[in-house]
Amino acid sequence: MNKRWKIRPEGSNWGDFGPNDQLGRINLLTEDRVLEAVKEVRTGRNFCLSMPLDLPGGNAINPSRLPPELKPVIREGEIAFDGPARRDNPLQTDLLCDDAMLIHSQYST
Amino acid sequence: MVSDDTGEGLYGKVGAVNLGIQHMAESCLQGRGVMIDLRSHCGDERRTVGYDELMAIMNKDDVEVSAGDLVCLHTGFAYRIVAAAATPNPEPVGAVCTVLDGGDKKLLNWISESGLAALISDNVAVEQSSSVAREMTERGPVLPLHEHCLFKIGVPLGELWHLSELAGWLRENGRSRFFLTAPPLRMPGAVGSPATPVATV
Repeated sequence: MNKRWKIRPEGSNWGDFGPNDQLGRINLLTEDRVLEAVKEVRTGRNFCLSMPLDLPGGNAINPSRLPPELKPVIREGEIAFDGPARRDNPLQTDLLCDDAMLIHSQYST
Repeated sequence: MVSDDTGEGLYGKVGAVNLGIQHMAESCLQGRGVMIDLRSHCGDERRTVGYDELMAIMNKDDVEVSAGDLVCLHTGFAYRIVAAAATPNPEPVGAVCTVLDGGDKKLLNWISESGLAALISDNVAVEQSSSVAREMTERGPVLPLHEHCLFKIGVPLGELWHLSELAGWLRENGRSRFFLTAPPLRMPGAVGSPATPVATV
């Protein structure tokens, strides 16, 4: 395989994790280090470190990053959300909720 | 991005042929988190924090960073966003809370030497962001910490994480370390991704 670069920039670590590395410093998260890290669990309490993904809200912080769009899936021309799975067959009791998201990948957490 | 072998994009017209986010997802991104609580020392004023001040804060709080650590910088920015959104007529929070000084060579060198695996913050860009106009006097990156971490040494950046509740708990309990699980989406070819990180104490 060809090397992925011609000139290794000064101060870079390109190639240190192998010629076809895809992870960079994430390579350092070895099994031993995960075992060490588990020792920090003493109470079992969890914290969610994500903001609601519709924040920061608007696009004032970065005009080109837009808030997420959350939409119902359209199934055979009808909104597939909070409705019967098959409108043409009243024998089916299932209720269908199916949605779609368009997310700017760096909008929020 | 075009593949050298085929001359075509691997995942359509745009996308990462190499270094896509799916690799990070496949790694499961789990390890030891270390909190550096800038907010409790610096308050909510927008200003940069460089190497000397960062070291002084870590020293005061007895925080150690070792190879492989997932380093979290608590500035309070996401807290301010979430708090503002909970008010009836949310005002923009504006430029508040600290950011790293990406132009500080000693800071960039520390990121290399410490062996930290990822650099995470609750602000917009970890460093002073490009949306704040910066006068350039010579040719170079407008986001030097991004260049150093992403381009040169393969340290992923986490931005706009919600760190305040965890930072408060760690401070109350005299701790700075925790167990962190934070895979991105396993989306082939993407360069960025939302995460739903979980800290366990």
